[in-house]
Amino acid sequence: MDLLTLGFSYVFSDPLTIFLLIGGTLFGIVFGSIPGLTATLGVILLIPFTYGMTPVQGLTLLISVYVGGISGGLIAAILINIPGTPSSIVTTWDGYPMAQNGKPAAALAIGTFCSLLGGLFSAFVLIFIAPPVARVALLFGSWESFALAIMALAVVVSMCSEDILKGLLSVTFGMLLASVGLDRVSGIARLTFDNWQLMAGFSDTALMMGFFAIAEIFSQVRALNGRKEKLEVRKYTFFPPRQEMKDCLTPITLGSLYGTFIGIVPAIGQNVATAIVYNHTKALSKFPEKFGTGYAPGIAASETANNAVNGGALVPLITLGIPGDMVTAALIGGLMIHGLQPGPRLYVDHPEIIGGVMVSYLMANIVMYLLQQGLMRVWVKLLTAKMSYLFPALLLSCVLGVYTINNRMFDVWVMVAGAIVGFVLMKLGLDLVPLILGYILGRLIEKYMRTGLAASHGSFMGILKAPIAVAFLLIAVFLLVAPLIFRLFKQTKAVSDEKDAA
Amino acid sequence: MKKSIAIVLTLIMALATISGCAGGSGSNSGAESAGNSSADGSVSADGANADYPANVIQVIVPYSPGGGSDTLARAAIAASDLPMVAINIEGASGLVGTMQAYESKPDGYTIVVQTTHDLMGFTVSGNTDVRMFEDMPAICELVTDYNAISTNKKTGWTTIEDMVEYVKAHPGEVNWGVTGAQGMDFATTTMHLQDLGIADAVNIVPYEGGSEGMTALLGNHVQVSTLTIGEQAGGIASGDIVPLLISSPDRVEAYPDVPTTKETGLRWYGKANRGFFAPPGTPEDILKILQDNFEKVSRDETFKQAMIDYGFTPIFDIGANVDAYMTEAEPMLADVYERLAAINRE
Repeated sequence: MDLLTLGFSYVFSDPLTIFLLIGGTLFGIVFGSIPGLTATLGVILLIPFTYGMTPVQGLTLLISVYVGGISGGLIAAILINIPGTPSSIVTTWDGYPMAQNGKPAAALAIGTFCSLLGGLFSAFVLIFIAPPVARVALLFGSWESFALAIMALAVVVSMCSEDILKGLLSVTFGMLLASVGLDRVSGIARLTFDNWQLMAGFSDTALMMGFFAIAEIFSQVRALNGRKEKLEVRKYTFFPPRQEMKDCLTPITLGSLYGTFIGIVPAIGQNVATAIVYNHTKALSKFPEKFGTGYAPGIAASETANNAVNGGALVPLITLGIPGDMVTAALIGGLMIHGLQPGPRLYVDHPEIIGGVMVSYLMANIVMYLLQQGLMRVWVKLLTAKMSYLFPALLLSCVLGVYTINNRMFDVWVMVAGAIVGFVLMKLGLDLVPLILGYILGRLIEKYMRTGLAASHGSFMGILKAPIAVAFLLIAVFLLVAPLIFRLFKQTKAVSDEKDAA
Repeated sequence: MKKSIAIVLTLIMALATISGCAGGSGSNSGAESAGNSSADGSVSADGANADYPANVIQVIVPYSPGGGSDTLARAAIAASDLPMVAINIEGASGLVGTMQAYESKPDGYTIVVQTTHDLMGFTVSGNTDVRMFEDMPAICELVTDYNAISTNKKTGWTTIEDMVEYVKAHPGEVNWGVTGAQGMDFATTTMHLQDLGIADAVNIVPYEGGSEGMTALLGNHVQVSTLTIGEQAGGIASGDIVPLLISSPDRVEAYPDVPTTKETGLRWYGKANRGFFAPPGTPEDILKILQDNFEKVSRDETFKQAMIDYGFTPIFDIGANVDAYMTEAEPMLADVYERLAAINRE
């Protein structure tokens, strides 16, 4: 509790810090809402500026940009079916249909409100129970992380249960893409065709922007003449409609819990979290058929989960000095440059930093809601221009954003190639979400499997010594087998019903 | 309608400005570049580079922002008299950005920050067809960083002998974490293990980066780990991590009680000197201008303090010495990689 008081006094005694908190969140929302300019890019661009600030100022700025960015992604996802930042891919599934059904304002309000809830939940975990919870991150060795990634993959596969063949095809193609580049364990170049540009594999951002922004623009352009050019948003509300929110209790609970947990475990990330929560919410729902048609719990699942991940990732950062993703790694750099050693001692030696991180994360979420919901008119205006104006501008921002994130023209070509391949696959009826999740998980599964094998003399038996890993694997098996059994049960029942009728 | 499109375009232009500023925030004389835009024309083979630098010098940082090389580059740029900007191009453990520098014009307007041993490692390990470290002239080395072999406090070991004794009594039980598989850390660790006589008795577990290695050590998933001192400083300070041996010739100021590999009789030590390198064929006089610039940087008090704060030890060594060292160290390094390859084949 002292930490919190200390944090508040540090953050609020300095007008510049308050300015950075508000300005950073605003900057984050802008970056998050424009496809191509991602939350990560927003953070990367501002890192050099933080070198001249005090640690609390620098951390406040980067945290608020990130919170704003991850949340801002939902606006474009809902209005134009293009995730503004990659973590909002799943938001498009129900957000866009809902906007098309004439309820764009409601969809935006639900998304932003759930972002706030996910953020607040993870902030409370961060503030009140970070030290014990951080032990979870230490429990996760290679096999545990491997099994978690396998379980996530099982979720992805069961997501495609309507057309299992196409789903598997997408996942496999994604995993194949993930194997390009320098193998991190033995240092051998794979599928690089002697081209050093391919040594690093493909950039995540380039692929995701190609698949979900540019390929989507291609397919929308084809239908440009066929439908109305512009979406009208009327009746802005500051709070989401009560009626719709009633159904959202389950996704909010699941999103908060899973999102925070996945944030604590290093390297899994927002995309996996949103897919898992969406899928579980759908499985528990009384109306699974409503998902994908503009159903509020779909939006809630995605947006609660991706924002809860942010706070989760900060838990091991402040307690153990371990980064969970690119952004927390940048925060660690920001500490070290001021001569502060991230690690368990930080709690004792520099409580003002810990308190500052907690307070700025908590406040960034609240400021995000006020700015995003309060200025929604402005954000909507940005993205509801006539398509013939909007799309060229977005193509430009995608090229600029993907180039700037790593200063490589090669990434831009990857994005263009990704867009063409993505468009063709979409026309062939393949879903790109399992593909990108296969890509993300493929890398994790390979990495953890190999470190796990190295630690167990090259034998898979080591996994049996890790009870958490075994539990995850059993869940994975259940997820894969349950639908089959369920179907079989239904069939036999149908048969017996027929018999009864006869 | 037009208004909203104007907003979008303004934002995009703002981004371009910001990214320019972000790169240039370390540069103290961006205005100097405005006068002369024909940088290429000013460099000629006869070495008449009187007006160098007439433009901003790009310093490629082949790693992500916020890391060690990035911090070094930006602090050095801030203390430089020459106009410079840092550009991060990460990928394949530093190979991609370094390769981009290798293929850049040798006009002195592109240089790269790199760890000397890593630059050699790219070539010696066989990942590049070109002999990068031989072709790229060194400008200078500016800082060094040491590896420490450490254990989790739960093992109860306080000296390297405790560890060796346990490993010999329980072969195959201890996991040893190493970062940067097949890189220099991996190579030096392999050498240490052979000298200690426990090469076949431990499981080497390779991790992608320092923070992953640190997580595994803190969680006791590996009992021993080779990591840079900077990476473990937080854990050592809290007592969760116990340093057993520092891989260096002399005792390190911050840890006067921890013995070094040289004292212990191990042949090789894993220093990680970092410095600046230029594309192949960069004219001598330009290299000299750059080297003089960084020599002045190395005496700058703010720069030195920033490096110490980060966990580095500031040094200065001229490019010629670095080049000579690399030529000399190649057979040793090649030997290490050959052994690694042999281990991998098994």
